[in-house]
Amino acid sequence: MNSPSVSQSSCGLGPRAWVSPTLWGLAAGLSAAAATVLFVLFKLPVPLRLVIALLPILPSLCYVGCVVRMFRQVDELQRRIQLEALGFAFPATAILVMAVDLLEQAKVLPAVHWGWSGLVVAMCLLWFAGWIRACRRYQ
Amino acid sequence: MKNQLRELRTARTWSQGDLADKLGVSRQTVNAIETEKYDPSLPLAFKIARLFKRPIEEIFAEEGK
Repeated sequence: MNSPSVSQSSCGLGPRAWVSPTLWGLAAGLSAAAATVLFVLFKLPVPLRLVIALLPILPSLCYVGCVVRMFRQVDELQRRIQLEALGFAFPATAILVMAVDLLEQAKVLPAVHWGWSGLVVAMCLLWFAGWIRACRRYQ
Repeated sequence: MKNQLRELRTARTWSQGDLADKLGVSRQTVNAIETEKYDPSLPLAFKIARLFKRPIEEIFAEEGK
């Protein structure tokens, strides 16, 4: 039986555990934002655009790896909480995207292109809401 | 599932944090088990039984038994 290393923080992880995912998350976000700015400001050749477009995938994959590693380090209740948070956020995001799209089609909402960044923000906010909800349940 | 974790812990004058350290889980997990909001996995239940030197069925019992 492996016993995960657990500190006394409420999430079961020490502050150091958050450093890598935060840095990789920032790197992913900044590289994606930089790519968008470059595409808007400069007329670049196709091969370079291809490289710039795919470059943010690398820090994003590192971010995913860090998050998966974090999930493996936390204890079983925290894993349950995260599962419930993700189980809430995943379908809730799908419902939100569907509702916004249908409202735009019905011309009730102005047609705004939210793009991937809007989707990521919605996912993060709904995951956070799911996390708070699950934490309260087991308090 | 009902359990005797709080009684066993307080009999040894351990805090929830002390027990959490001994079990390698977070204090929130100990609290959730004690308040019967969370049923531990079988490996964790065995760990608790070993720590308190009691049979597992003496610490954990089905609801209504």
